[in-house]
Amino acid sequence: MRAALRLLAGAGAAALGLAALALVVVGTVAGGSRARATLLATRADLYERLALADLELRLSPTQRGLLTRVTLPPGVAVAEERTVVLGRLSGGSTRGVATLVRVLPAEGPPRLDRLEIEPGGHYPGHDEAALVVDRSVRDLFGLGVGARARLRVGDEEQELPIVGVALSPEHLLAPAHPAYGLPLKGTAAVVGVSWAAVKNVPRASTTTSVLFAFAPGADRHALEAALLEGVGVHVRESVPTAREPGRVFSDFLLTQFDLYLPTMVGAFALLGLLLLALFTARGVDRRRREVGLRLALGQTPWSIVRAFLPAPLTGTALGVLLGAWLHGPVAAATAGTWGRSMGFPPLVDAGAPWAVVVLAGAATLLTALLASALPVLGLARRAPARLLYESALSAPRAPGVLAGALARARGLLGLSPPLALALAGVARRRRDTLGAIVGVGLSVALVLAFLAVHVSHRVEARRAIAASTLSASVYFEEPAGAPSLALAYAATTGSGEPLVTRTAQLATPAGPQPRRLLGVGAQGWVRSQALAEGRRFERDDAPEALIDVWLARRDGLGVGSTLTLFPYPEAPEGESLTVVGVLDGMSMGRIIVPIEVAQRMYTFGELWTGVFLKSPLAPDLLEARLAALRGVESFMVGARAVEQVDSAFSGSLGVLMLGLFAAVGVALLVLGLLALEDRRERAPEIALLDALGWRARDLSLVTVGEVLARGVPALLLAGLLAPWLAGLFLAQVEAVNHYRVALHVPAWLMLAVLGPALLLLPLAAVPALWRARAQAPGRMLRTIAPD
Amino acid sequence: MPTPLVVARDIDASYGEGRLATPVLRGASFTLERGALTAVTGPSGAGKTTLLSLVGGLDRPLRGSIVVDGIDLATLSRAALSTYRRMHVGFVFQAFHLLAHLTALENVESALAPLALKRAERRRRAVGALERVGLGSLGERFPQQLSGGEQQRVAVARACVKEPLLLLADEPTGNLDDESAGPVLELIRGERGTRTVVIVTHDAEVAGGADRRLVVAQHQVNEAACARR
Repeated sequence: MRAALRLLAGAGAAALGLAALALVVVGTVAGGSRARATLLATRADLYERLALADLELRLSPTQRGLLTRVTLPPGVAVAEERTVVLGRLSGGSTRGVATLVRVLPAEGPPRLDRLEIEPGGHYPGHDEAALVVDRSVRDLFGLGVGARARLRVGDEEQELPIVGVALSPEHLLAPAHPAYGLPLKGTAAVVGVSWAAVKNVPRASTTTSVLFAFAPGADRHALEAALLEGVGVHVRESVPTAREPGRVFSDFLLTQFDLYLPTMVGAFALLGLLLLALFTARGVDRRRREVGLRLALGQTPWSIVRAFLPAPLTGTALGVLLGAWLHGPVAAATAGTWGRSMGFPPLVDAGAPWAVVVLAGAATLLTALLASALPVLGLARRAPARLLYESALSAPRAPGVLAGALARARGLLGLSPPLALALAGVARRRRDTLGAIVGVGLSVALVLAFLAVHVSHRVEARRAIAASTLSASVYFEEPAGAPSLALAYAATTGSGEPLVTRTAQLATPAGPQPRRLLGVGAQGWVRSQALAEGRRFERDDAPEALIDVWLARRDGLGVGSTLTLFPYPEAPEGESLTVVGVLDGMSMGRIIVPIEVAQRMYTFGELWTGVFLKSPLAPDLLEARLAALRGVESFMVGARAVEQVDSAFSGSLGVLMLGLFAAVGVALLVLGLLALEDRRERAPEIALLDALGWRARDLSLVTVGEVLARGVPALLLAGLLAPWLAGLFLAQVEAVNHYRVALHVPAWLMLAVLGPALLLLPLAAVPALWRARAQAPGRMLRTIAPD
Repeated sequence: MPTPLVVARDIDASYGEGRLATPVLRGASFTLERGALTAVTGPSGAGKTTLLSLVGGLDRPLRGSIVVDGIDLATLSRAALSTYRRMHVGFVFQAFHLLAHLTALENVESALAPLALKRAERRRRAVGALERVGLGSLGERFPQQLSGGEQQRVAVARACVKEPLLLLADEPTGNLDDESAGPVLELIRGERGTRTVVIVTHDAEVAGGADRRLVVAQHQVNEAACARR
């Protein structure tokens, strides 16, 4: 052990390098695992604390007291009526923002989909007219406890004090755009208003949804069917917990996390192991004469292996221990960045994944062991004399064809002697050079690819919104006719296209499944939607349908398939339609039918449930006008959706930027360690060149040249690999999310990443140059043993 | 009588560092005549290589002065010593010290690299130097592809290509057999007159052929009698 420690101390930078690489491997693997477990634990804890409902039935506005008129089936543990209306909030830094307003029960806090009020606030008392705002309202608009805000609900507007800031289920997600395929990152504002404040508002006296919690072990499907039947025609939509938008969105984000993180962690871990093996093998190579000497002394190869193992294993073990110790901050940074994008409260640490730590540590140590033992055994097969009589300036093997070709190339290129020497040096150390180029290139390529996927996803999401939303999508409280449309157009100085949107039941082999239905005209909005396959319907009454890629994959449908759609779960008859086309883009689970087919299904006659609006008004003004309209249940302004998409992607961008810094950092670390090792091995050469009168800057240029000779090809490789890898990842995204995303690899992204990386490359030479001792060349030359 | 090229006075020098430093010269003084071939002999560890290193600017004395053509090396900065070596000194080492991953021609060129020469001129001179040592056709070979004698001749070419004032050879034939050593010695001896040549050697025959002989022993440098040509 003492010998190992002496060797370790003597090995100096090499040992530190091994420890650093081992730390990277164990730290990223354990940290990534812990981050994931932490996010899951936080979500589970959050859902438990908020007592999310197992089922929500969204209703047409119904007189309160519905639950007293309905017989609840056994298995329902808690049932609660809820009123959610659309309002508009102003105050703080906002002049007005669309707001989901939950009418808080007078008798006390809700039992399901609870509000968790932060310290310093309170739930409004029975007669207290006040607001409890979601955290996002405070964070976005500066409206916290003690502030006052104006809330408009219907025709009523009043100024109310804010008595609490709460974490609410709606903060995780509340889609105000039912036709929007991609879940939003929360609405802009969610508030709870006390009953005392809105008791005079007619709409506030209705029930708009009923929440149910089931007893453990209850048959959820059976209960859902029974409740749908029991509640009857009031039901507009049934939302079980698995499709609860907040859960869908967090599932979506976790799926992305599961896509990105394991790949990045795996790549860094493999890279770390590759480089660990490289440096360990190099350390053995440096001691080749010792192998020769030991062989000459009669030692067996295995006894030489045993002599060589302690130093690299000690350095690696040190790194493993450090990685085990430091993986916590890695996990915290990763989970924290991702968690912020998921709107999570403070994370619930899942604790150290000791099994993962042990496995990662064992794999790292095994790599170091093999990387030591195998080269020793390889060297031990050579004649000892060949090993013994190599000098510090000689090469371990005779130059081959490649060396000759490179020498001719050097001559043709007319490189300056320092650069020619640098190139000759990296070519001589082919294994290290290739390992560095592949390792650095791959790690940077991976991060670049992820960034390209991120950019592509974001671009496509924005495009999808622009294509599907026009200026705004508006949804009426009740099916409405031409006058309501006219009012909407007039209020927004716009025009538009009416639509019908509902949740229909699609007959599948697994039974009826709820799917979003959108009925639109054949010659309007639908003509602007991109097709993946087939064609669009041509008539407003054609018995045809369009589906999205998500639905096609999930339900095994395609062009020519027949759909049977029921308007309600208990509807005796369904509508048979033929799928004529599959829509491309980021829609998730929509069936688009001709407008008259939808109206017929729901016996709406000449009524519609909403409108796609086109308006020249600025987003803020458009929002204000829509919020003031009577009979509007919800709306989504396209510009807001874009903001929310950006917000949804900002979290993953944070993680990717972390990954980028890590990749560039690892690249510089690897190149720096190699440069350090090269400089150390090259000390006799450098001394010789110093003796020949080479200037200090020329000697430095040799080291910098070696760094560039490895780093530039690595970055070029990264630039070439990244688009291909991005394509692979997007295929994974498609497979997971069931929608297509076209690849965008903007030139600015490549330049923004590769440009600075290229500029930073020479920094990798700094440690080697710093370490170069100002030693008189004579002393160094004397250390070169003669042949 | 021409003035000596090198005048060294009261030199103290050691090798090794710190507690491992071993004094080899104490108050040693010697001169090197211009254009002469001087052999340096003495027992192992006496300081012969150290003397060569001091004259060649590869090392600094702890005390004393070494004046080469009027310039005291002990007063020069590191950069100035580098310039001195670049312009005025050629080395030939016992172990050849050729760079394994450069061809013979590139090894010779490496001595010209720090000089402000165009690439074509650098190549021309290097080719010429190799031809003068009889290896003009072997310029594209790597050191491992050459015999020991050939490698040392490349080293001589490298040392002489920049036409230095001083040619310093440290046991140039120590790793060669008699057959290989002969041509190398001839080449080195052939430089006398043009340059000031110093050879460290154990070989009595080599020492005997020199114009002067310095003996390094017991921390001193003394001149000994030798047969002059």
